[in-house]
Amino acid sequence: MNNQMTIWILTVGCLFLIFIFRSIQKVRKETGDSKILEIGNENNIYDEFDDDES
Amino acid sequence: MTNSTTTNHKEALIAETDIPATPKDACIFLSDYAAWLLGCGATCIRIEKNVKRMADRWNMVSEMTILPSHIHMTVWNDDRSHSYSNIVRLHHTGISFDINTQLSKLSWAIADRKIGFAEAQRNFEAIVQTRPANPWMVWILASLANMAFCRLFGGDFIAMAIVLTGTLAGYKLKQVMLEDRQDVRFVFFCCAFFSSVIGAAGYVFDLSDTPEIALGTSVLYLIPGIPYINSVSDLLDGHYISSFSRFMNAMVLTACLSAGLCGGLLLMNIKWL
Repeated sequence: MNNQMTIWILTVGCLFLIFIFRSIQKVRKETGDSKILEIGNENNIYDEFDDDES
Repeated sequence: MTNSTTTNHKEALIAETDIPATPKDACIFLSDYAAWLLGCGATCIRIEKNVKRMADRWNMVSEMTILPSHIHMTVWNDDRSHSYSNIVRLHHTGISFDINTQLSKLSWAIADRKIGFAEAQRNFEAIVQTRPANPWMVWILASLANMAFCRLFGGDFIAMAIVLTGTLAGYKLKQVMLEDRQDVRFVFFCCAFFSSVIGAAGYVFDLSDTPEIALGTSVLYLIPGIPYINSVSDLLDGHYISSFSRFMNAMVLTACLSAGLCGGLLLMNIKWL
């Protein structure tokens, strides 16, 4: 595979990454905050339940 | 039978007698009408004729200055005792032949005394709410049209497939970036760049017998044809400011498109001389 092919594949790949990223952004906007964001978030609702048990 | 005849007579009477009470009412309506027509890509002569048609129906005299981004309208009553002036900024709706046609039909309906002023206002409000064409349909059809251009210029079937792929990707990128309200010049640059890179597949992978046709036609969908045509029409009718403005706008977009194409050619190391 020569340089020209590599550059072509990288450029077109970059374009498709833009589309994929945009689609993900759109889906996240439409469905609201993802639960994945709550992991690692210090102020999540489960902390309140922990306090009650202790 | 009698009821429908009576209703028709009533409607005809309303259409005949319902005209703007003052030059102010007519001016506000006509200036907004003209601004919408200018915004959706009508030529100056069409705007002038439509507005004059409606003003004549209402026994009023309209004078209008069409500037690149504004409409400056003055309406007089028939004996020139009262006038009203209004300046309206044009509505950036994007070119829409559908709204253009409907607004022209509206002017004829008024001139032919089929509808009165109140109904004209309601119809106008409904027309400007017209939804744009389905973006998926436009995406597919624009890509097929560009592919047809490739065939017209003598491209083989592989070149057509390359152009179809390049246009599908480039047009989708254009829609995405315009949705994000990016500067249209930057959009044209990016779309031309990516389309030309995809269009260069004929050279890179040695796929087609006419790779130069595929490369050349891959960016044709971005050419701002309507501003160029409208510019010539305005030039012929003596609207030089509007003509020059449309021409410069189209030239700037063409320059951005060319820059994107050159960028693609440079990246792919394709010698075009």
